[in-house]
Amino acid sequence: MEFRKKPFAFLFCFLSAGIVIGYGTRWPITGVLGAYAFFIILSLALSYRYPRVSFLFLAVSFVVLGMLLFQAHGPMPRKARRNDLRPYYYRTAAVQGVIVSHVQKRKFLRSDKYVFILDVWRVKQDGVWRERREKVLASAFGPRDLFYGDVIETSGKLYPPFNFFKDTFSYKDHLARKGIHTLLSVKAKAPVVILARRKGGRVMQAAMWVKERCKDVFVRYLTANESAIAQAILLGDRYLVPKELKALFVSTGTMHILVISGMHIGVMAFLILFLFQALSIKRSVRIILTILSLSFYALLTGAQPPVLRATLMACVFLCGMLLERQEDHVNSLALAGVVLLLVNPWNLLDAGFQLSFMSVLSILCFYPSTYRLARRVLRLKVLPRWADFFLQSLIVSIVVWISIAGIIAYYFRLVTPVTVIANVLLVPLLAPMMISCAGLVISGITVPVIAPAFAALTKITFNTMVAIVLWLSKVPFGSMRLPVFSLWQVIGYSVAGILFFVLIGRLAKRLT
Amino acid sequence: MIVLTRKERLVLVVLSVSIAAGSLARYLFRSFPASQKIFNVANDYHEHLRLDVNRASVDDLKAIPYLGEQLARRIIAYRQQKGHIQGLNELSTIKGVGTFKWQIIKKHLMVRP
Repeated sequence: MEFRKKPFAFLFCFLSAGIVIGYGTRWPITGVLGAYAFFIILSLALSYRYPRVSFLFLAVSFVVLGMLLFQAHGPMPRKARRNDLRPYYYRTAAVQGVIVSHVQKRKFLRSDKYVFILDVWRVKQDGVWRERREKVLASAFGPRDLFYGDVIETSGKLYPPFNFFKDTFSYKDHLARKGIHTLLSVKAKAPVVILARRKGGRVMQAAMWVKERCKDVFVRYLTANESAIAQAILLGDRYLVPKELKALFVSTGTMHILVISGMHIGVMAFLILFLFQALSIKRSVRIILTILSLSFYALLTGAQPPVLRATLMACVFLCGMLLERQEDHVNSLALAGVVLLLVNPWNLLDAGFQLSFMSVLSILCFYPSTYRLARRVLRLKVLPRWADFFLQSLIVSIVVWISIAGIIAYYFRLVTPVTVIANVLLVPLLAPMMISCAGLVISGITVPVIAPAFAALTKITFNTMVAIVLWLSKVPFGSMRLPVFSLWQVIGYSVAGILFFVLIGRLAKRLT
Repeated sequence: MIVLTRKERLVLVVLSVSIAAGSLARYLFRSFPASQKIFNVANDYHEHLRLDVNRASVDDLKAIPYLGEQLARRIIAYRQQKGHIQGLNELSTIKGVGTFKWQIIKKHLMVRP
């Protein structure tokens, strides 16, 4: 890899290595800091006389920086955790705090359950208020009127997260990566007093308001499950999609349709850009407005790692358009990765982050040569547009499937060969689905007269998608469960996969 | 006379075609209820996932929520004893199938003639 052209790829590789070392080993923070200072000074001192040696030390300094970052975001030392909520575990306590996330309204048996993140300020027990600062994941049962930015006082039981599926997925670790170490359960009978409203960030508050309006439109014009799918695809809220339906998407390897990722952001960016273009807005203003709209959309969808990755990449691409400079896609991807790791190094261990980056990287690096080779081997010189589109979709689908199969096998214990066909059929459906959904939202809010027409279109596209997924889930050997797939097996598979694609690249070069 | 750019015309065409297609679909859904049933898979996908109790294996039955291995084996044993299960009602006589499990079984199993 040419690091001169891809400085962020260089940074990303060494930073990630440092984070992995930091995860696997324990070093004293002073030692890590000292090592970082030593290597960076050495690299600067040798930069004129020995540039190659200087580069080597710079690389090592980035590895140490990764370790330092990981330590800074890792679990707090015992002394520093004096002010947390652990002394109150398994006991009922009154808490005061502000809601810092979207309030999810879920169904729980016959009642409602509201799930949100509460930034706790104070805890009261035995009649005494004590200052305690920690983010907790709160579940409040019964009918509630809660919104992002509300300052509330309530009482409930505090306890640590449980580890449900120990061997495959740790719920405790998943929450810890988001900085949550405590759960709060508020019974239906317990009062939730709203002390103040609108105390959150203004932009986030606006995003949450738009989200609520969109939800209202979906609930008004679509059936329960269609509305749940619309909320997953457009707003990033998957929790309403029934478990069995989600299982169908997982078993056919098409869960990425229900999770906002690069494709969704791409369609959204194209839509926004196209609309601004049609409104005859000046080019530079149009691009800046699109960047702002995409950032707002990322906030609205919860700013999960795949959304942030795609938004950052789209913004870099749009900045390149603005400055009329050709950007390097791999470098943009690495920049997005570096930003996400700087924000939270635990992102590197997140399945969504790994799948998102691996799939985009494989498309950027392995797809062009595989496509060239396929055309050469199949002796296809001139192809009709539709056939070329089909071939391209098939090759992208195969390349991505091979690249992420190891990660999927590790996290989900699944091998899904049916994914290759599923993606060819479903990915082209995503754009119509998102366009009809966006049309429904806009018309539902502004011109309700035409909203039923968009609702009918949304209904057709969604049900077609579910029918295809249902049909593919019944394909024999389309999805197979694996008993175990260790980390070493993933590494072995990845090395074999890279060698395979390198071979394909060489073969394509020789033949074309 | 209003002069539109190519992009503006395209947006208007896409918009009008979407509304026309949606309106047509809505008309069809209203006039022919059967067509609405075709595009209702997202809501009644359960119907398509039902297992035939006369062909299901122990592993298939175990995949149904709240149905353990023991009960799955009992259902298979009952099927082997009877030869062919005629209706789902028969399963309510099996030991371990209470009201709650009966509701689950009804949702996930079927008897194909």
